[in-house]
Amino acid sequence: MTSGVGPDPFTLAALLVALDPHGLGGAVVEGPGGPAVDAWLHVVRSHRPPESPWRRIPAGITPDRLVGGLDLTRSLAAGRRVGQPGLLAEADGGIVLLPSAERLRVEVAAPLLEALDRGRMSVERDGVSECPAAAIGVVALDESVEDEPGAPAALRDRTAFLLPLPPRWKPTPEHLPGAAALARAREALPHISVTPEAMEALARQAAMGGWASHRPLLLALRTARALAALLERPRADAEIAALAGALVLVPRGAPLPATGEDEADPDAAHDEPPEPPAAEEEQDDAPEDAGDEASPDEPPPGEPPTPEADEAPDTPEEAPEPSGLPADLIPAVVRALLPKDWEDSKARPSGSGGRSLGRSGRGRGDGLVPATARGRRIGAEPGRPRGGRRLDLPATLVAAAPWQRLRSQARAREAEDALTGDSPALQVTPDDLRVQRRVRPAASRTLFLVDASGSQALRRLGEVKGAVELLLADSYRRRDEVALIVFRGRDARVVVPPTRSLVRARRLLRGLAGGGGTPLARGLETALELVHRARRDDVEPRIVLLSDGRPNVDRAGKGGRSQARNDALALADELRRTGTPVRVLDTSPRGERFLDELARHLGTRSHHLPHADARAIRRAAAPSPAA
Amino acid sequence: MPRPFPFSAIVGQEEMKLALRIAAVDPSVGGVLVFGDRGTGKSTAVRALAGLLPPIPVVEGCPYGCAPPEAGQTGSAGGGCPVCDGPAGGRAGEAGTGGRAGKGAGAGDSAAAAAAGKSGRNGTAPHGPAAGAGPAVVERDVPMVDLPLGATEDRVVGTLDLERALSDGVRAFEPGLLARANRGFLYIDEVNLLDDHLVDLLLDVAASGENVVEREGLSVRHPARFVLVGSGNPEEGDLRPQLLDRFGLSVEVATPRDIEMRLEVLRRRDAHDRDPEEFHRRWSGQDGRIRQQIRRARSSLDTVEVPDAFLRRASELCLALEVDGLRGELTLLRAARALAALEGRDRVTTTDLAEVAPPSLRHRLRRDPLDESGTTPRIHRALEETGIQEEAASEKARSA
Repeated sequence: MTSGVGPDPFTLAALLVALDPHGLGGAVVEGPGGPAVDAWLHVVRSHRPPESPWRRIPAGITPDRLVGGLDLTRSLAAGRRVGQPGLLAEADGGIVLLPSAERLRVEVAAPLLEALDRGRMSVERDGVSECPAAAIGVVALDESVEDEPGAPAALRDRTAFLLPLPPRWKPTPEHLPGAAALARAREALPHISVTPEAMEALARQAAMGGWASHRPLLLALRTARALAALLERPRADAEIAALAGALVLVPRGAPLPATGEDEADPDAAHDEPPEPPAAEEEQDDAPEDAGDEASPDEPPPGEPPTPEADEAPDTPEEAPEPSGLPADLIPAVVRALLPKDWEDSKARPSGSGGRSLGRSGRGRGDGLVPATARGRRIGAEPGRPRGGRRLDLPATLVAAAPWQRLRSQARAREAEDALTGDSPALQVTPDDLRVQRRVRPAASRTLFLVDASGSQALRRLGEVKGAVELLLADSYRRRDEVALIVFRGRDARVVVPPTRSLVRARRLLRGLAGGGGTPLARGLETALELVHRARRDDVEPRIVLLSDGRPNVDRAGKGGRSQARNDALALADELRRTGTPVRVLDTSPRGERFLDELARHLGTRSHHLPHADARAIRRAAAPSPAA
Repeated sequence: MPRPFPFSAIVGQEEMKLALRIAAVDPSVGGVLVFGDRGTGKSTAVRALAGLLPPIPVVEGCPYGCAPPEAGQTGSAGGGCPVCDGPAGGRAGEAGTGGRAGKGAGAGDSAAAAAAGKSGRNGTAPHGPAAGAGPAVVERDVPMVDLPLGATEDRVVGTLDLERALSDGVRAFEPGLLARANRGFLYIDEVNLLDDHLVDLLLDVAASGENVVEREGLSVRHPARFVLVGSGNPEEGDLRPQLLDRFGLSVEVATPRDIEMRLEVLRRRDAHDRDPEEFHRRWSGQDGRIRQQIRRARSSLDTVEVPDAFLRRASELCLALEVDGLRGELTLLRAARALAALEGRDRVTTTDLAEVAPPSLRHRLRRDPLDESGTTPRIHRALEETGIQEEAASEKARSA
């Protein structure tokens, strides 16, 4: 690691993941699959110990394979319960590869997150009750394209690295230390200390990120420690912390770390007295020694003996060792890892988890709520296969298996009387029947398409916001989803990607702006994209359009009334062909003729609602027949 | 199993910690819901609680962890246990089928019958010394049972014991998670993502305190009284109102924005990461104090006095907030009583009321989706308007 230029951040992240997969949680690698991803994975894998597990989660994995459960065949043969470890337990101590993380389903996500959090998992399936170790790191491949939700925020929150891997990325061979060097670093890792200055710098940087979770900060701390091990340093100092911050915190929206000499200003570091913080003192019933624990001056007794541990707090600004970081490494890391529109997004309020409205359309972290494929099987439950419910044969057999011996005894007794000869190999009774349990698809997905141009924009937006919230508030049962597209100025924007979380919608709706031109065509085009996406998710889309019907920006984003109208009508025709129900709410003061025409093209009629308030809009949007 | 993070080492999150302690003192409060941003230590706190609770005396060999009977009583203390109450005891109606299941349930019968005269190991158990032929009693950790989202129904309610069915041809009941959680806690992380059919099942059992399994001659009903603890992130989806209502207390957690507190969180996590044993040793004293506090509060709970004035205040508050039903008032009463007991007082005060009002009521207010301010400020407003806040303040001034 003594090259002049230093490794690029992607190589660095790969090495760190290989060094401490469970401690760092792993990485979310964003971008289409291809040689770059393969090369990156190869770097990780070639730096793992040869015998350590490496498991791939296939797309259609069933919960029993992932989590483990009953091994039916062996149980029957052995006459006792034989469990079967799941993929996550098999991967204990190693890495789990998760392709298509953007399609992660909740029944896969839940055990995965548990393993990341606890290093083990609870198995409660089919008569098996176990708690096997599953200390894994996850490498999630997020291949979402523009406008699709990516890997769930809950997963991104648990992996140290979020890597927008460039399609042409290649590792530089001289920056790869090799498996033997990594093994040494792994051995050194438990003995690496972190200086109080480093810890504080990371905490400050994370606090400015504005997200709620503690995890990024903790991951940054562990990254700092792993970096020190990788760079053969005895401790993680402020310089290492700056690099860790650049790798872990900055991609989530924290400000850039101060670099180089600025960061190493000894005065700045010493201005903060390294005393137990106020928070500690407020805990008035804290035991005496708790203060010591918190005090950065004294390493706790019983810490693994490292020769440097004692000096660490006293000489925090000690000159870096010769194998030091190249001066330009941190800026380079930051440049490479920042989302492209970072400068944009910085100006906007950043949401929790580092997601921000600025990343237009890239509606990150649609949560764990699965993109429901209609009727996707997620398990079995007792029931009769009727009324469209389908028999789950394997589950039925599992349910029947334990009873076989009892039933054959009973049957043998009957047979003595009836002389009915041979009994069937397998006796299944109605009680055994299992039907497939399916993810209930969302009843509908209402796409609000809102004209935020002109002077009435803000009021209209306010009412739509209310309508969205009303709709979500009384749709638990039906599992309706909403999405909100706003068009104004030159373009349309998906402000609220499809969600059924009121909290999430409310956060995203905060601080919407209005005014400017009326790019109705762009709005319709965006709605069309969401209609296609809804169909892919197997959800019924419906559109509620609110506008005063004076488009003046065309599909290409250029001004001009007549082209704007023609484009809008053309897109309306296209939308009609998708068979999507549309409501057109005319919010102009006196009713706008163009909207009647547009509505005809959409296969509907325009409703004049000059004083549309939240409740009226909600009624108009209601999927119920009452509407 | 690695030990959970020490409860007392959790920085801040006072409301959550208080709610969990209250539920530990008085399970009839009805469970705790912890909602908040991801990564704020929700499940850490819940799991930490398990490491804190004083052990409970249970009938040896009872798969449901029944409490030993009080002196002079027979059968299980709570009633309804197919093992402790024996095939002939308890519910005559189910004696036939219940008996079969009871036999299947393993060593239970024999353990209950072989009444060794051992009493509890220390004097903390609420039962009297076993006079004559009581069941053998052992001490056990309070169960903290995880209900993973992927759990199958048979593991939750219990099912046929596969092993005994296959090897001995015996129809035996194998208790599930609900049995294991009896007298303890049932914890569901990401409770808002739990499958509907499991939610329905839990609601049923939580309401009745009893789990009923009926299948092909397997007929068992057993006690399943547990404190439901759920945590989740509201951004992943809302909780069904029916389930929301089941929880006695509801807590909202947020991350401290204060940098020193964050730093403290980091330091402690780091110390725990690096040397968990040492970390536990460091905090064991403080955890022990909380354990002691809970133990004392439990035994003094019944003697805490609740003045009529308190009840009137609680009703006024519920009226002001338009909380319907008795549940809100009852939760206020129980939570305040547990709080007073925790603080070693023999009387509930208005200050207690003001403190437990937000977690007891915030999930019971009618939701107005157009009101952005959320429910907590509404409760504080109501506390002001009813004069409770003022009364509590003067109470504090007097005692100071």
